[in-house]
Amino acid sequence: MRHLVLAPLVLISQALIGQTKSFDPHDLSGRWDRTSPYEAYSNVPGSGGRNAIVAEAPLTAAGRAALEKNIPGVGPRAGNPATSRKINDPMDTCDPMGVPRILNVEIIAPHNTMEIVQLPNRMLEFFEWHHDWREVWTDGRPLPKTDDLEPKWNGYSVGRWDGDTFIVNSIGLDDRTWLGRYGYPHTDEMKLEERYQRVDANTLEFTMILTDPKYYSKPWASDKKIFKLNREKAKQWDEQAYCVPSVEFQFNQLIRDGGFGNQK
Amino acid sequence: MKWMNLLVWAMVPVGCAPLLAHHGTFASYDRDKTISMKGTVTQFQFAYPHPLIFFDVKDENGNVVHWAAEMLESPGILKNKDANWNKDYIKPNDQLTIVCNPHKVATAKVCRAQELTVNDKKIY
Repeated sequence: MRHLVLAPLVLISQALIGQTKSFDPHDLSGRWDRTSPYEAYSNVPGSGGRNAIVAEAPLTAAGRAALEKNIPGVGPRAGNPATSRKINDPMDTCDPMGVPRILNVEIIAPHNTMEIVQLPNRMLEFFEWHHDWREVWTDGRPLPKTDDLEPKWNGYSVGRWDGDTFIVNSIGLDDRTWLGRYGYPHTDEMKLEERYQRVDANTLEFTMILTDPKYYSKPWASDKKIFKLNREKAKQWDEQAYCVPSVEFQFNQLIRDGGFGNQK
Repeated sequence: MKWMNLLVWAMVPVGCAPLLAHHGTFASYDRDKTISMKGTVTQFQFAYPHPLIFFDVKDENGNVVHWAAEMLESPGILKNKDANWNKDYIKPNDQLTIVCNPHKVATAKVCRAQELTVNDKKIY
């Protein structure tokens, strides 16, 4: 019982220590655990649990049509293996999740970690889930023109400081990826802006704003993603949570789609 | 409750299931129902995306029926909850009692584990 009484005090004191500890707001390096309640690009229907405040995306008619083709495994639009409405989440075939899905894919420890490494000319982000990484150029180069690029899974990204906000702009993002696990689509003409702020020694916040006129009638902002610095994880082995196609395909066939017991 | 080898399709509301699944298997099960079974473990895969338990149960005619159960959480999440979880935590020939959600494909011998008792010790 005494532990139950003391536990909130310990948490409060840890939070206060984080707020008062000195920190450099331009130092984003470290292992950060995503703690946001919405495991999605934004707080779309289905993403936040019971009683969550959610909002539908500002889809155009073309965006709505593209969304209907994407059948997720969760949420109000989830597929059903017992019907013809089969799940086609690219994550289930170990396809790269791409930006921005890799930024919002996991909110559960130990998979929710993103490590940031700042180099003189680049910022690197490493993601525990699927063991992926991306680079953000910070050497002052401009973004190329979209027409000059071949789309890539994680796109092309440049970053710069605006006061204490680190702004990342990305283009050239492969349109085979989903924004998050609820199946929201994007075109390869999407422009994405991420805005990072280290608000105290232990907390990193960021929001995303996408501009994609074919699919979204206006720029669409994500909910605020909140990360907490995980000092312990920096001392541990990587989880190496790869998505392994040979395992995943068997899992889908036997388990997700109910093939076990129906083999011929 | 009297346990049989292959047990009861119980219409038990599960209520608010935790939002933990990484993959599409949330949609694969009827989360408003649970079934209960007793069986013998044949294999345990402590693997991503979700660990799997394969086990045999006997039906009312004494025939062996092969089943598979999916754990809701990944190995990493299970270890965070209980450090005892590893690839040998459940072994072949262990006696298993399981409460699980049935698959939506009615003929599938697959379910999602809600409660696990192994050799009379509740582990999940």
